[in-house]
Amino acid sequence: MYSTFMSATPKIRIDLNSSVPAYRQIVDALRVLFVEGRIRPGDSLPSVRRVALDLGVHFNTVGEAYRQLAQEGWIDLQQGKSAVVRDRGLPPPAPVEQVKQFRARLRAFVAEARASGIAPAKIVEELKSLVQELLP
Amino acid sequence: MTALWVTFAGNCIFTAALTLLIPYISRPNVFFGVHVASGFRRTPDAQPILRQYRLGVLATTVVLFVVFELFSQKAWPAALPILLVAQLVSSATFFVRANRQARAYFAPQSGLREADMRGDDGLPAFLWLAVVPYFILGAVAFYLHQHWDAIPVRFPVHWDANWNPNGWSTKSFLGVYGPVLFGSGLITLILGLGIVTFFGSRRSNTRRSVLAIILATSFFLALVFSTVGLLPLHRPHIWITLALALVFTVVLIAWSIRKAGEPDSETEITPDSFWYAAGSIYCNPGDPAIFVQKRIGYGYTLNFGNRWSWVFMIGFIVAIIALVTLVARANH
Repeated sequence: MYSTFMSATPKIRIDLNSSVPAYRQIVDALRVLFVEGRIRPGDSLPSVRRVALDLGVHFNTVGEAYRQLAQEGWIDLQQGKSAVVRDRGLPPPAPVEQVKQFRARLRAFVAEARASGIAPAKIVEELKSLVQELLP
Repeated sequence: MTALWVTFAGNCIFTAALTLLIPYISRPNVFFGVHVASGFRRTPDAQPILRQYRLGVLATTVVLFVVFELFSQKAWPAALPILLVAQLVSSATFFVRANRQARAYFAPQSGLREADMRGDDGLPAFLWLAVVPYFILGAVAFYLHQHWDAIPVRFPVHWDANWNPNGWSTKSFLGVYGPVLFGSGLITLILGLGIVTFFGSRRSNTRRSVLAIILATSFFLALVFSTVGLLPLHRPHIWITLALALVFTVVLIAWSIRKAGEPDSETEITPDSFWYAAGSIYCNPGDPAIFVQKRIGYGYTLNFGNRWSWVFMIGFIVAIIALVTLVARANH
């Protein structure tokens, strides 16, 4: 689907053959980089044009992804200037309904992993490892 | 051995050598314009295709030499361009044939794309060296200005195959400074091409390499047009210019083969369905890139699916025509 990979420079990778829309993959991949701290507050992101060119997608696709991230409070968008990563800080605790939605998504994801033959112990191990990586 | 024969043999052998090298001036995962598994070129499946291609090119070259010998006895000068065009057409035909054979080994590309998320990048610092060619041409113009009184009213600027002058220029502003102005204009155009290529293509090591090649070309052009610019006062031996051109071309080809063959220089992902004419023309309206990495040779080619590519190409052609017109006016 999407991935960020541990190289000297923060990079995102998307799969154009995936059923997940390209803009969604860009948002997800960038969010991981923000949470991991590999792109820090104050850093500038490449222009919409540059990212679209590198990924081979339409400018609007990247524009949509940047707008989504701006709505989530990750970046500041100003006309004619580079998108800048904001110091977002910790959001207030999520409402109960949002936690329920998250649990439902996670449940579906774990079921998918089990259905594809991944052992329960491996799933637990991977989830723990991911949480440790993404914790500030 | 006449001058015409030397011209024909030089052109014919050079074209044949370049044609034979083309499969090697490609990235490891491209074979005759087709995306294949990396390193396919060295597999037993690839060898018959390469062998047939080489045989075809070599046989055509031999036939052309024989035909030229026959025509040259009748002193028919039109044979030279006709035979050279025939060589290009036959080379292209053998390439298309090899391309069709290679399609059987096509390896599908993944849809994975990646982007560096650091901020926008600027031009490499080495591009400052681009001022040097202008300094060289400026120095020639200054030298001509200082020796204006020594310039004859009429001086030769073109010679036929037997080195007899057949074109003259006059002692006028354009007549004397025309070559230097043309050289400066041409260098500006190719540097512009390099900069547009840099910003209009995907980020990769190839971008820097191609910009370095373009910078080297601007140095070469500065030397050539300096030589031509000095014709009103000095007549350098033609062999010096030809040797310089040959050395530059050989170094450029050797460097391209080396860069194209580097293990990490696999070509960027461009869908095969948008490549036409045996992998030589790319036309993908869904790709925002103006320039994409070539399938044949090392460097970049236009994405004809992007309207800005057409704007750029037409602008470039118009600028070249304007420069040539300038020289034509200078010589009349």
